Amino acid sequence: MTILVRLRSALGAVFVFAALGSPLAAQQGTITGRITDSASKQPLVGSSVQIIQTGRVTLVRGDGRYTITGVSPGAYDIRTLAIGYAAQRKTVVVKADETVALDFALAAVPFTLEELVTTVTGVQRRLEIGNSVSTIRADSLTQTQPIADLTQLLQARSAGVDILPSSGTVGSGSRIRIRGANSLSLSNEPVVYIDGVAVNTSASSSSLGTGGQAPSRLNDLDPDQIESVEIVKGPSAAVLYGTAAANGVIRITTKHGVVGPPRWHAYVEGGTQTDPNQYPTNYRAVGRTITGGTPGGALRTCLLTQLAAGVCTQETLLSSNILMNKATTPIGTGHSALYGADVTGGSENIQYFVSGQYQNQIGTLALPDTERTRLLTARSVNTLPANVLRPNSDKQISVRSNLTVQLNKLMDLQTNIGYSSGKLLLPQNDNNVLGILPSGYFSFTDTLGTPSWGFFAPGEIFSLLRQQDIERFTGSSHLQWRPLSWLSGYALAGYDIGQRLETSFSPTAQSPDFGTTNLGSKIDTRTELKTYTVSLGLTGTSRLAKSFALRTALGAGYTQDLFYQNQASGSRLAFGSNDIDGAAILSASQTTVTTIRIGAFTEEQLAYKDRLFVTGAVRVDNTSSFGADYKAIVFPKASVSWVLSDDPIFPKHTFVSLLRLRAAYGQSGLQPGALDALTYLSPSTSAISGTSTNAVVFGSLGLPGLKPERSGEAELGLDAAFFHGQTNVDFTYYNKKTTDALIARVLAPSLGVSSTRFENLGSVRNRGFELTINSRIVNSRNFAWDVTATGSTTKNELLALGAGIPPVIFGVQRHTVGYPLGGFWDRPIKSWNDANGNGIIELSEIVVGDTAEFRGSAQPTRQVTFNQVFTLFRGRLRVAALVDYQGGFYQYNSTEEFRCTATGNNCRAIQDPTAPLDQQARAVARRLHGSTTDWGYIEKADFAKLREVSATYTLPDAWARAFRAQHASVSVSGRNLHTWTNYTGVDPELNQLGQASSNGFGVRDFLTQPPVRTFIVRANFTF
Amino acid sequence: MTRTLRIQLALVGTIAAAACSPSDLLKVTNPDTIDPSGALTPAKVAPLYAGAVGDFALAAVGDNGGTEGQLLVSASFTDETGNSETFPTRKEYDQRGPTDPKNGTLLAVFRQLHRARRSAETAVDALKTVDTAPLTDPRIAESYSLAGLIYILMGENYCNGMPVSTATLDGTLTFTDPLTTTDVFNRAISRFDSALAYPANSTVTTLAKIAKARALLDLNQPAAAAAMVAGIPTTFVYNATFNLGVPGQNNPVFAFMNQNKRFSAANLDGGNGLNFRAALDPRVPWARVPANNRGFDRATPQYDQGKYANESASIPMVTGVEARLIEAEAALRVGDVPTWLNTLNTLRANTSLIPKVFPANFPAVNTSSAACAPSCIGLLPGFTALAPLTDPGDQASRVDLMFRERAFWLYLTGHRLGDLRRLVRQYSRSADAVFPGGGGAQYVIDGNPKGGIFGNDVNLSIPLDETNNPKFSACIDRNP
Repeated sequence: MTILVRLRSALGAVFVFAALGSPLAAQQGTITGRITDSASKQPLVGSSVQIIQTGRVTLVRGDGRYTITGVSPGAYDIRTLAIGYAAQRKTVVVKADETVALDFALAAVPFTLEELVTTVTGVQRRLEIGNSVSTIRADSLTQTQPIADLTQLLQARSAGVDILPSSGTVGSGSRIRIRGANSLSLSNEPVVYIDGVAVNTSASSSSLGTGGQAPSRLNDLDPDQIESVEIVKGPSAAVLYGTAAANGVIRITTKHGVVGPPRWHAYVEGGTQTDPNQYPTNYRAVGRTITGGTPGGALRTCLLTQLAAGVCTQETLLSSNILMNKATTPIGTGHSALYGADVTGGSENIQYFVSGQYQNQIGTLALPDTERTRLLTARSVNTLPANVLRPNSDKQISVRSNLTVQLNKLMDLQTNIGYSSGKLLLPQNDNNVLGILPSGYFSFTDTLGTPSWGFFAPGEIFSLLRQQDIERFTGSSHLQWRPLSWLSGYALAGYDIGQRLETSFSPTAQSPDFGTTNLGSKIDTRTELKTYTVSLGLTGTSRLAKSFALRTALGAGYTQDLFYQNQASGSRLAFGSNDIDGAAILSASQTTVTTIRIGAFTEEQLAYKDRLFVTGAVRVDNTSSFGADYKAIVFPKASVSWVLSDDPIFPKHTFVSLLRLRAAYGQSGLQPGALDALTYLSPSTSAISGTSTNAVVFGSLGLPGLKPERSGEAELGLDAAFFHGQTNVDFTYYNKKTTDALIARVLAPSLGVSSTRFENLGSVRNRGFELTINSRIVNSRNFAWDVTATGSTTKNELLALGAGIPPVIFGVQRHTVGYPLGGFWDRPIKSWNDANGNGIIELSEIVVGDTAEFRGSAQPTRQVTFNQVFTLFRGRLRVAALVDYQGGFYQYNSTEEFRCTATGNNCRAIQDPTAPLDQQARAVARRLHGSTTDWGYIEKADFAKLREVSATYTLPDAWARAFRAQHASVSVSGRNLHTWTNYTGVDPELNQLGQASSNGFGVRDFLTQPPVRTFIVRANFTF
Repeated sequence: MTRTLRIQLALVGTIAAAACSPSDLLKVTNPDTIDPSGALTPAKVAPLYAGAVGDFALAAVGDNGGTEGQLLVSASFTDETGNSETFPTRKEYDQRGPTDPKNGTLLAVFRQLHRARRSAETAVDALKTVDTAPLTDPRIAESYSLAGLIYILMGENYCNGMPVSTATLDGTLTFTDPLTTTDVFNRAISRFDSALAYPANSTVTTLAKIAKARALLDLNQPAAAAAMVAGIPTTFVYNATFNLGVPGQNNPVFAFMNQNKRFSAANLDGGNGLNFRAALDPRVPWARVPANNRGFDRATPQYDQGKYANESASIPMVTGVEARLIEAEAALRVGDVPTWLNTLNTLRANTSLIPKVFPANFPAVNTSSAACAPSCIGLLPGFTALAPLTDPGDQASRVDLMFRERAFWLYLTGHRLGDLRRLVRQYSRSADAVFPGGGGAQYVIDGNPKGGIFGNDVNLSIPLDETNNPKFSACIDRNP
């Protein structure tokens, strides 16, 4: 029997039981009631009720009413759950075939631990969980804040979650780090689930050659479809997610229907992007050669060191800035537009949420008018292709349909379908001679002071088309089954497929004249990214004694990831051709990577008087990428949550209204890459007597006993509320250690095999603190002032690399025992001194250390965010400002380093005698000292950014009715409005290497487009 | 618990158990890989041999613009070409150091060298295992010779103390003491001797003989070398071949120099290099097209080579011309000046050996005027043959002339570094006089200051990654 047949049988059995379960339904009762605000008497839409004994949760309808059917006769404790309100609990007795009424009136409180959190075993209250779990309410944020994608939604909103953008290019991705980096050799990105289904979120998802930037598949997700995002930060919480979750888990819940009449919501948004950054001026000192003590001859470049050596004179210091000059700059103003609508509603039996959105973002890069004229003339055309005029843009359409159906009194089925279609144009930049910023940074100034592009002009550069089209479908079906009052189960099946079509087109005779580029080429790459998820689970509750409740959960899961890529390319195209068919040289390639992961778990939770919760769990995993000699891995977990303030021993006073202590320990893992354990040969081709012949070459040396990495984390924390919940504090200390870390052991070249072999040798530690403080400082009818501050520290350290393994070195970064992963290292500039007083630092005036030293971490080690919200005029006007600080790290200013070396030869430090001496010193050390040390270009990069500012005004209902709407609001917001930093490069938040270089550790500022400033105006309407 | 529910739960468990067979669930296929286990067959061995030929070309010359091979590295290291691009790692070896032991480019080059060695030796073993008539299979001798040529490149281009290690498919790694340069050349000779034991045809036999002679010359045994090549036709050529239609198999010299402008044809490199361009010698055709052409770095004047006309042009790795040059040098060693001079002049008179097909963008031979500077090709109008040489009169000058002739005949074939080292090692020249920029000349390429001064390296060092070999810590010495 094939695998799929077996799985279908299993799922079919579940459905059979659904039908067989119906005999039990005949003797059920019903609970119904209404939830309201005790002060305003208004219904609490979005609240829910829970049967404590079974854990079953029912959402409240739009009119505040709820109905729970299929309840077996007996006595039950019913609990209400509403964000911002104190929970209530009442007891009710249910009789067969009868309906009992139970209403609740809830009092508002700023903070509660009764909030529901989704876990692998089902929905639980936050106070039952011994870990810190962050929740971001996306709905309100997307309507008021300048958020274009999921990473902007996450940025600066959760302590310990670090979003590291790579550039300001529209569509480029970001790295996400939760509590530091665990792995040297595998991805450090968290796994993402959407409505319980694992999805592909490759941080660097592109085969296009652009020089560095690449999109992340997280960009495909429409933030306006998201209800909430929960962040499970570490192994202590992610145990039940198994061998994929050591880096944390991001659980996304999309919006779902609410019982009631259809509620429509529409929005329209328009915005601009500008680049406020100051690009450096290019310099050129010209003079004459000194021969026999006399200057003479033709004008020539005379560098400072040559001037000091008496080789030449300096007569004129020329300067130009082709990137800042209005006539030549390719940097303009970008635009964005967003249109969307959704509808939610339903009956007792069926609830729905349907949405659609169109978004168009146009980046700041634009063809200068002079270039446009030149091309139109040179090409004898009247128009130019859109990508030539604007080489960076991102269009996206997203639709979603979520349906919840009550199949019968015991069974609900939720189906979620999301579809997005995108078209992304990426410009050439970064480490790329065909890039527009490289061409500008290295521009050359002639003796008249006229700049010329360093490599190629914008017209030819923008003619290079690099386009990625993505079609993404994510679907899931979630069946929930409640055969008994104490037993519930679920079956989940999900499918995430992305079809990625990438086109790289270099038009013949219109491209930069570099290599064979201008002979024309086209590369067509088609990639399928598929993830299948199947999971099953059962949860049972029982009462051991009056004070003790027991909750048991069992589950199993299967996940398959498939990467399938075909690439066809043709070069030497006929002029005007955009088709591979007509190419003189054709080639093709194929890549297939499949990974399968299976696991099973069990969890027990003992609750004492609903204030002390002790949980233990075990998960067993196996994957297709483990070595053949390695069978399975076991991950344990234990946690305690104690609501001390509910305990009689806790003194009652108004200062501390809530205190909860929590502790947890758990393990999770990361599986090796699909081929890491294998020894294999690779197919290839060779020219034998000039004829292409199939060949086989050595592929890789593997290890049959290869194991997954194992991360164990201990977490201690507390949650406290003060002054009746006016201020609340969430504090966590974590200590996470990864063992069996996969080290790509460098194999000696003399072996003649692959350059590395993965072995489980290393260990890494991350530890730190996380603090979140929410406070309503002022709370009056006409004015409220809320402050949220978060802070976190991350100390990352490589504990071991394995016996005999030297530091792993990649450029100026290293993995060295005792230091942070990917730290910056180089030989230090010990001192410099203008000893001869000529105002020029010469080689003899610099002292460089003999050996490389640690310069600093490449990742931020401390983060602070400060968010203030002012609510005025009875809540009608809301003004918010978010400041984001990141510190304790360095950035490699490779842009300036290249400008000061023989590549650019145009930085001030080597041309201008009045240049600051420290800049001269670092240039001389790099250019002339035998060490060629980059020490001076590895700079402190601490920064603070005014990340977001917004003002949202809720229109008077009468004004809204003018639009035929019930409610309407207008929001004006801005992003990246100001940066405070001492970093001398354009922006410290850059990474030419994108998201995936050196497993995400590679960082440098090298000719990369910096973050842009965004302003958005958005109108929201509710009908 | 009701009876119905018990039955239901039992059935769930049963079907769940049936569904869960972990080993079946975890099976995946990896079509991008080839399982190396299992018995060898002729069908399996043929692509291994092809892989060895391909790996050799990658190691000896390079690929189509990504990673250079020994030819391009040694050409830049010596006075054949100059660096006209931006990569610090390439400038380091063009400047002759100091070279960072972590130099990523040289690491990739070194790794490919050993991959090629292993590939050739694996192919030999595989061929001998399956061949039913090994003495008639030219692939065995050829694979032996490819391995031998790799050892020659190791000995000629790298320092004293070359590590050679083995890895089996079961993951066993075996390390031995590094080989001295002499050991390396002797190992090369042993490979050629093995090749000669499988004389399947005259091509593979001649290949082995000339290559062995080269190794003997490196060991300062010119007489034995000359004897080895006696009677070999001057027109013999063993090429590394390329195919325009397949990316990765384009002529690397053309790709790196003419297309990507990473290297430029040099002239008086470092001030004391040979006047490869100014000599206007038809054996070293070059052009600067357009007249203001600049390299990848947009600063260094770019002079393209014309010896390899396009992406499909073959590169002669072993030739009959080399055989004649070996004979000439042997004659010079024993003082037989007439034989020496006659051998060289016979070569010069053979116009079939001069390149006549040039890159498409090169200017046409100007039939009406002799003046074609600054964009010239070496083949001037009215060319009939290279003018015969005359005896310069003293032994030192004869040696200079001998090595000049070798430099021009073997231009861009990966011989120059070995020759410069032999000049120091066997002819007692000073390294500063022989190697470009010797004595700390300013590192300037055709007027473009690249920063700093020329270094003192006379060979390539072993990259830092080799310290993962417990038997290796550093070169024994960096002597020529």
